[in-house]
Amino acid sequence: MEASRKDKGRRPKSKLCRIWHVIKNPKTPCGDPCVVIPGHILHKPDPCIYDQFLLMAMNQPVTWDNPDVSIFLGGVEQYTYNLTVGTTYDVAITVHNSSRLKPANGTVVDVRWIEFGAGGQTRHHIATLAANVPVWPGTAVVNTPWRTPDVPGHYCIEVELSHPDDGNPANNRGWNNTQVYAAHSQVTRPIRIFNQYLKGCPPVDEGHGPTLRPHRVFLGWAVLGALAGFFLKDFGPARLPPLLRVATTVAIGYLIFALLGLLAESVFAWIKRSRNRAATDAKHARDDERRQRTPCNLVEIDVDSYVFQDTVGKGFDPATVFRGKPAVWPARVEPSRFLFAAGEAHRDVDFIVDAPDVRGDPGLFNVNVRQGGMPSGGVTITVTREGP
Amino acid sequence: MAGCEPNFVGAGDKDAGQGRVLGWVFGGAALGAVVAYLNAAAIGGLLSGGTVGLLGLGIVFFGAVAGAELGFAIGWAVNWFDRLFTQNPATITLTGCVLCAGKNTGFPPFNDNDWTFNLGGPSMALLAPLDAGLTLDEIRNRDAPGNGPAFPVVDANSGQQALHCEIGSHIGDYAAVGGAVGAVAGAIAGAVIGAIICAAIGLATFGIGALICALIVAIAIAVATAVGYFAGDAVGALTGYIADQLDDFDDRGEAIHRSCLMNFTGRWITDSSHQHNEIHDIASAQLVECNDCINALGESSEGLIAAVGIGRHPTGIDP
Repeated sequence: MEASRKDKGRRPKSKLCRIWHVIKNPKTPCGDPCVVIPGHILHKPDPCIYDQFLLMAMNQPVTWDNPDVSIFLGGVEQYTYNLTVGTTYDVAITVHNSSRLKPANGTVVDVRWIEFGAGGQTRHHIATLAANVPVWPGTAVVNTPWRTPDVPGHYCIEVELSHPDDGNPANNRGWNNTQVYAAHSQVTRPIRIFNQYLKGCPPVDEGHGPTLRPHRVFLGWAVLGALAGFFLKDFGPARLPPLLRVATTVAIGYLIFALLGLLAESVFAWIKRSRNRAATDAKHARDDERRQRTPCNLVEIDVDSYVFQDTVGKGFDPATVFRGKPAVWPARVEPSRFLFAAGEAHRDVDFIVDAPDVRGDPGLFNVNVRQGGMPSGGVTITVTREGP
Repeated sequence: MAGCEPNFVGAGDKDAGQGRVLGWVFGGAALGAVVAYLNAAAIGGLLSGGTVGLLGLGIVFFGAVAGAELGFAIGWAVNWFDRLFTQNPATITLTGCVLCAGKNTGFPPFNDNDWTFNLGGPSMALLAPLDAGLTLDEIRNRDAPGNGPAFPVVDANSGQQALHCEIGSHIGDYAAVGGAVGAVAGAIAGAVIGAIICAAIGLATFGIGALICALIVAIAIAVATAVGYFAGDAVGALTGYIADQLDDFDDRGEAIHRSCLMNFTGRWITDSSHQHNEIHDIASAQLVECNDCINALGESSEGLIAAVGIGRHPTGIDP
């Protein structure tokens, strides 16, 4: 701030002064009033879908009844949980594009099914489709038939988009994971939670440097040695023709300094590692302590009754649309927090809801799951009331 | 035009890279002095104990200067392409508020002409990949494999936690290579020019001493190395500038300033010359909106980022 106040109004007139000003002008904490980002970096298509994982990463409520994924049978929309075995359904996917300037032509749409629950890891291919999505607010709807497996089961649909020039690859995955059942009074339903890290936590690959980097030797040290050899050409074998003598001294210089460089760089790296050891060890101890606060096998589950009111453009007020809503009836998951044991592939938790005894509007519940602090999946359960 | 500087939270050396280049300068100077001494001693006669007198000292001095120049040029290029260590995962997407936006405009090697940003603010979040343990703290703190320590930074002006992000200009890369090639070519050309000058002066004076000739050659090498470096540096910078312009030939850019909400996707690295983590290069940038995100509560910005993320709101400033 001080630097920019001092510089305000100072406009060197002569070109040499301006050049010197540019060179000497220190980096300011505030940067410049504005900077032009290159268009090829800024203007890219952005095919996207209602991505619950991105929304949860932004601390927004979600529904697992994906507004961009629909399953039809004879034109009637279905829930994913109670699909009939060996039946062909129509799956319709709406692909959006956040870019105002670039169409997302050639967007690949991968459609899969996963076992019903949260965090399922085994994906079964349904179809790979192509979508040409116009600029915002245009969308593209792609359809595929899907014949359910002949073995009884319950399903979640996963859609994943990909584009070679995607402006934001973080908004490309959406789930449609819904169930409906009738209830009166208290009901308990199991929900399967899958372990995202069955083979252990993601490894942390860090540090232990600096290490020897060969190009510093062969493109640095050795090149200097070759130059030294060139300027010591008179010390080469006298009986050789001049050109060959130069080549010999250059080659000898290159080899000698390559060896020196290997030794020097190794010693230098060792010295740096030794000097940094205490500070690095202390830093890693702090990093480990921080990582252990949210272990990767910790599962946390919450329940709400959020409903996504889909709209686009000026009508979409984030403050309104993303306003959370607590569970409309007493509903909970037990346990709502637990640690997967080593090698435990999944665990069933109980979704318990105390539905009113009288007939009325259904209650909608989103069961949202995080593992290791990161969103891992969820289900949306609709509970109808068929009381007196 | 100035770039964006972050400050360290605690430990950290912003100028760690300078020390690495100085090693090359001193090493090059020592090597140049030795080569010059050997040449001078060969003229003066090693049997005389290698004494070379004032002329010889002059040859050694200019040999050291030339060696220092070559050491700087080659060392700078080596360190330039060796300073960024890639993390695992290599690519991440972050969202947040631009706390600072700038460009290191100027002449290489003093300025690399990269676009620089400090991304942070209360809305800062990791959007991808969403792996357990990969938190913002990890992004800011973790040392890249094979590298020394990285330290978290804050934006120098607002004091808010930040991650430094850069779009790389071709100018820095091309100038580093050009400078090294130019310095080497200059050194060789200097030897040739010095020999020609020697021959010309020798003809005019009916012969000059070999040591005087060697001194002329040493001076010519020292001067030509410097000239060659700056010429190569300038040619490289111009070529890099043209490459930058060609990258954007069909697509004009857009002005961004502080308080713009943005998504950056790019390579997550540790910059060993500044001892902090960065996204460098930013492969794609999305402008969500420009508002008062530096001072606003995180919730309003998060909602807007989410709305753009699911395609219900477009990128870019509303017309």
